[in-house]
Amino acid sequence: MSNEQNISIKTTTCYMCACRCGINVHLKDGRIKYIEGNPDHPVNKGVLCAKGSAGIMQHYSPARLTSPLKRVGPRGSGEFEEISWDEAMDIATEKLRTVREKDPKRLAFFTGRDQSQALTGWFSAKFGTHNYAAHGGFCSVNMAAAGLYTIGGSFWEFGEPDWHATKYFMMFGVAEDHDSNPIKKGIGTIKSRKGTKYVSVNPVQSGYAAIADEWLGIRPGTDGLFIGALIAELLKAEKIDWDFLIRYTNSPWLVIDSPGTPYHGLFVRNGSGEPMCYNSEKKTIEKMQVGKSKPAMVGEYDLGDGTIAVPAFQHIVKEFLSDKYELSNVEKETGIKARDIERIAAEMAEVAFEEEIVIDQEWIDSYGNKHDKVVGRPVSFHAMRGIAAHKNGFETCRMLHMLQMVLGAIDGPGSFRYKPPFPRPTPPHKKNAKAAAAPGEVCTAEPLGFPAGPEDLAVDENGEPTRLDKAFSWEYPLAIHGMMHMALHNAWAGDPYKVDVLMMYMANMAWNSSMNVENAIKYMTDKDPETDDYKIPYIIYSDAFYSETVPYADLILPDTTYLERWDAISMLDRPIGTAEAAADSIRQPVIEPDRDVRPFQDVVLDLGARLGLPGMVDDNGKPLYPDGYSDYLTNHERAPGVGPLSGWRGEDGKSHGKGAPNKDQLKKYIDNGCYWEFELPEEQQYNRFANKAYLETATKMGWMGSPEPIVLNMYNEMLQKFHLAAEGFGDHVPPEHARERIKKYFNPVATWYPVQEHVDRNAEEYPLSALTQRPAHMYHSWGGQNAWLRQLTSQNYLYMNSETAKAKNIEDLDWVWVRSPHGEVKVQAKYMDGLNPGTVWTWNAIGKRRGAWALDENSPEFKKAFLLNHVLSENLKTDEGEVRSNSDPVTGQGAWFDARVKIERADDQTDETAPLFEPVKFYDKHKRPDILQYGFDKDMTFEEYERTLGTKGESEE
Amino acid sequence: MTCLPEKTDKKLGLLIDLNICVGCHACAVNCKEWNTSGITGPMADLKPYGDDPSGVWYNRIHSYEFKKENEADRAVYFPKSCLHCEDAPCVTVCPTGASLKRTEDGIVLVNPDVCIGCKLCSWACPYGAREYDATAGVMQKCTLCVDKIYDENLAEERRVPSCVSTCPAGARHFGDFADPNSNVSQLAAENDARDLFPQMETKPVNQYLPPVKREKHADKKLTEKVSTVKEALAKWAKLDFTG
Amino acid sequence: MHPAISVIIFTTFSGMGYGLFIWLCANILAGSGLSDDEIFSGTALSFILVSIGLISSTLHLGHPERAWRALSQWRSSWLSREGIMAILTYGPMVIIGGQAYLGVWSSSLVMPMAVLGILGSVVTIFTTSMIYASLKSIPAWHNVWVKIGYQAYALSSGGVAYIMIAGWQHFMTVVGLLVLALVVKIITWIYIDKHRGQYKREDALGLPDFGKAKPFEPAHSQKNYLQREMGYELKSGRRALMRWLALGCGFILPAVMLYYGLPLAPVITLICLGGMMAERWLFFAEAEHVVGLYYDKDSV
Repeated sequence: MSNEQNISIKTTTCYMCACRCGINVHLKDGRIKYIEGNPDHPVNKGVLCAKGSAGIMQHYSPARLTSPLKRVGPRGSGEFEEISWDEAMDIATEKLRTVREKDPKRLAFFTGRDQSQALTGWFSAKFGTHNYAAHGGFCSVNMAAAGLYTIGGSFWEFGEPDWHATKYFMMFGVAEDHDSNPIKKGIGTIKSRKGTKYVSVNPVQSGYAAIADEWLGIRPGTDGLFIGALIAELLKAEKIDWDFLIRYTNSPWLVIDSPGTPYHGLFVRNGSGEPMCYNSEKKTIEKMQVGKSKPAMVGEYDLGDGTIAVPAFQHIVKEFLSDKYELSNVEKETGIKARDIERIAAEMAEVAFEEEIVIDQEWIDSYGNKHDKVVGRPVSFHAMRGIAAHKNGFETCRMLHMLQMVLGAIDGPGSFRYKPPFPRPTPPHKKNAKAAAAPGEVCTAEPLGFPAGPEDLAVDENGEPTRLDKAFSWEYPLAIHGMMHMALHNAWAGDPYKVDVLMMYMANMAWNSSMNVENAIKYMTDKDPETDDYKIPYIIYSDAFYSETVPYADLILPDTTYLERWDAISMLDRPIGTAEAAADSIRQPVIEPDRDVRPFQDVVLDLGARLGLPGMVDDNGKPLYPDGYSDYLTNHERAPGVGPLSGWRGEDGKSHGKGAPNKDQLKKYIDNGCYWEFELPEEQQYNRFANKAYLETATKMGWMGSPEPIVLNMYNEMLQKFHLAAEGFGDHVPPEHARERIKKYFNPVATWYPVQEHVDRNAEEYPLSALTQRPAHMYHSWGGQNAWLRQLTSQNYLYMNSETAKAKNIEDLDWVWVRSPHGEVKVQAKYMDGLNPGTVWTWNAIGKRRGAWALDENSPEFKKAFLLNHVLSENLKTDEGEVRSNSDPVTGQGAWFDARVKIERADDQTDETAPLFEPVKFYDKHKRPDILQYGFDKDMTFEEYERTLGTKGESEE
Repeated sequence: MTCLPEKTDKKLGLLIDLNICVGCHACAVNCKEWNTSGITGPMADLKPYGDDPSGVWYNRIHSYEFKKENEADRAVYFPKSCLHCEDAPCVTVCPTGASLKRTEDGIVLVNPDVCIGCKLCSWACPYGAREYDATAGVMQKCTLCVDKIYDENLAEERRVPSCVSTCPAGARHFGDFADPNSNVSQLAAENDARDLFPQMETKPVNQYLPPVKREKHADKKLTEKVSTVKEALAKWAKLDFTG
Repeated sequence: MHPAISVIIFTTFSGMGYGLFIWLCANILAGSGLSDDEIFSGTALSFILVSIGLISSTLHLGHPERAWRALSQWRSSWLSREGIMAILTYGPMVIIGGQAYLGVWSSSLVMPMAVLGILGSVVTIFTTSMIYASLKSIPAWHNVWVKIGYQAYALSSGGVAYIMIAGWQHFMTVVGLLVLALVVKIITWIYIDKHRGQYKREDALGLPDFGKAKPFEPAHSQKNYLQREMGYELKSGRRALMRWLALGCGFILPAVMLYYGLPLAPVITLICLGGMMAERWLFFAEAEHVVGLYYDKDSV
């Protein structure tokens, strides 16, 4: 500013949500004046959303915790004593040391929207517990798992539509805003040019769906059927990218067809384990050689010993040409007209096969074939929680990737494109820990990883779960993000065992992050009658704010805000690359904390050092990272030359990817705007699953172990191995109680099935699907308390299709009861037209518990706003009487969007929601102004100021 | 001086593309953030943590559902801030000269040092673009970030109102409507740009591009070559592709 | 529009004050033989009523101490013109009143001052009415009946006050004016009721060709300044009650009481003033601002 000399600008990375934009923070007199998007940053290129722009109010929130707290009243009372960090760390260390010496798995460590999972997961492994996970399990793991097990990548952090070239873009589902700013930028890009069609498949026409060229108000949980119908249409019309399927997918690989044998459904392989195909020219079975073989795609072939094998593609054909995907059936289930499905399939096929994009760029595939051009089929997709948070979400997400493969629309110009370090092998070569360590030992693998078969499950000798949340068990074998939503229940129930300490980080489990709030609170406050101690004996919690969960912890370790800390958005975790470049980034402290708080990452490293955990202390027991997280970010090596940050490695700072630690690395990042970007040459930007040059780069950079091609899974053999295990084959078979489920849900070819609530005994009584989404200005954020954001939304309504509402004699703004088999909540209904008639929805997490977040006791968030969580349950009883987690049977993804409800006008029209929980203790550590005039004292009058603009020239009268 | 200039040298203003806006409120919050410490700030909030939070916002994002026979229903997000009208009734009603329309660029401003807080300008504005700051007793409004767009310390492409530089979807454009070759004039000319509330005869400078209409689709269907598994297996047995 | 008490007092008190002053001046010019005491008490009451009105109007301001600045923009602003005219009109008022009480000035000044007094008062009332009638954004005000009405109500209510000051000489004229003002008020209501709904939300949005628009999500959950200031919600029961109160007390009751010569002039004046305040309350409460179209109003 020309007239304000004492302004400084510091770059860092936003953390108002999980999108990780680069920001420029303007400071004046040590206070934050303005936060804007960093124009150079690869994620947001200068733009910033409402959340990021409201960072000032988050930073100065009166709900900020100010010092470590020790509980002195009963749990939930909010009675705390302020203690010193020394005391807090002593208590925590003592508690954890006892656990580690006795049985490390009795520490359960669950983090929320944690962007330091590479650290927290590593800490858990060194501690010896594998009871660790973050928020992915109840967020969108189906999308991630289905992608990683199918094409080695998925959306958001894994890949994105080629916004600049795509000609047909289809976006699925509510709650699609993980990639907040890049999605908006991308949609804005395609809407700014003529000729690209944007179709929204979404029960609710809000947000991005509003500007779609076509909106399909699908019935929740039926997206897979719609996608399957599109695949069927394409197959029937032979609108298939045969070349793509043959070269880059396992479609032509021969599959043994020998029901009842241990080999049924597995690939035919030669002695070296290489897959085989049937060469239709030579009429022989041979090793599949891309570019040389002329493989049959259908047919039955004798392996010579009477065993029949069929190309994998034949299974695809059988699935998708089955009655299930008949258009009349699909129309009935999805609510999308058959003729619209036919038309959409035709539109897609036209764009994919008649408007292909050809780039004259030579490249060589991993099989040695030279190509003189890159061909793109410019149809692209995006989906996130909307299709993922269902009990059929894994299959639905897989089918979406299969549709992309049929169209040949993966990593080409105009289609979905990977963001390096993706694609990764399907699944990635990182194994999960199967069990916790013995006392005082470390886990040999990190808690979370990617099982490659039944042998990798975390189960004991009886096939029962070794993890508290039962992730990676026979019940939820591919729960690659863990199942945080089961942790409280299981710890309370002692199923599979009890824990001694539950440590949590920035996860509001006593409120909106739990499916059933009442139960969640019960789990934390119930006492064991025998010991008179809490069933979950000790809870350590770290958060920056006084959330609903704080009063339930025994020890609070107050965290900083995102502007007061170091952080890394690491290649070891979930980096920020784009289709053209690999990238990672850091957060730097731009302002000093004014309270007695510490970054949780510093605390984790300190705890590790105090406990003497390997990797955190040297041979003499001295802390390896005495300066905390920044020290760790600079000096930690996960493998030789591989650290949390990829840029400016090596002693001279000239290596990228791999290299020795560089003491000036963080400075280099800061000088570069707090990010590192490694752009790929165009030759390496496409077909990266089999792009020789790219895969060599990826190996050199440490993203891949070896430059082997990644074969895309039209047919998933690994899932068949689980299926076989359930039939009793192999060394690792599920216990009897899990077999039917595994048999039903583990199929090599993705298939659609209705979710339980749509067909079970309650389905007729509870006819409406109930969805939640977060408003764009609060998505993935802690923004509900924010002085500016809460003005936008401090009250939520239940949106009902106006016709549906009128049929129930419900008028606009009437109070209604929403009831499910699990609970009820009284809410205010609001009419909406752009809404699937069988669906109701609301904004999530607007409702808060009275007393929390330092809001006034009469705030609308406490009185009128509500959580739909009250009608959800983390456990469901099947018609057969089994109690199962309300989760996807493959990945354990929390099935938030399967809820079904009935709605009736409330007799009592009092302007107040129900249930209302007893208030938690109010938080008054900070002054809570009645009038907020955030800004700076002006040192000149308006006229003087206006004159400084330099525009008052000759035109002045 | 509250008489309107007969002609302004420039007509700076915004072109807002309703075909792109997704209603994310980024513009509104970034505006607040910039301007609360800007030339006419602070932008006060009343009961920010209380039972009825409200405050001064120069820009507010509305949304509507449109229903029309023979067309699919649609939702429209609608950001609204001062339109910097050529015939700005808010300026002429001002008794003190606090409200002014700049001759050099047409920006309508309120001088908070002179404003008596009579609120008449907010009554005169048909668009609800003026916001009263009860704590300072003065009227406030969009300044088109006059203290940003001329700031030579900023890179040239950042010298745009904060709502424009921050808009993630690129739904907002800033420029000189008096210059027929400017980006905004050209976009307006090519895209059926609209005045808000033309009946009010205020000649708004800001323009809105309408959402694209959702046409009814003619049926279209791929030609089916195989319809059953049996047919498919028979036909595709004769495929001839080298991978 | 939010019916702010300060503005209601401003327009009703000053209206009665200027109306009374017009009556006084007219009678001076007509040589009605008003006593000095009557002239003085009449001008004094005018002065007080007008001053209460003006002071009240400054209470409405965010910065009353800056009120003097409001006199600067007479070239464009009716509010500025009103302020100037109000101050100018104090001249004849003070001179006529001062001459009657102290006799300090030449009596030859009185006649020209009475002419100026009438002129000043009529113009001041007109500028007041134009503050409202000039606002296109408020259709209920943006019409000729507001301009006529302000003059009529000032003269009728001022006439009632005149009887209190100067006796019953012209009571039938006042009754006639009250009936006339009543008719103007009723015509105004018929007019605004008939013209309600001329502007549609789709016009405000600039999207008249997209069908019928209804609000989906409000910009902000809680009400803002615009809704509080311009979005007054008048319930229909309240409207009927206030209309009867305004008609009854503002016009009918004073006319009937005067007609029957009830010797209660001060009471009648108070009833009339109360009625005018009810009328003015409605003037604001009934006036819909077009900004409501962006909020919950389909049409204004």
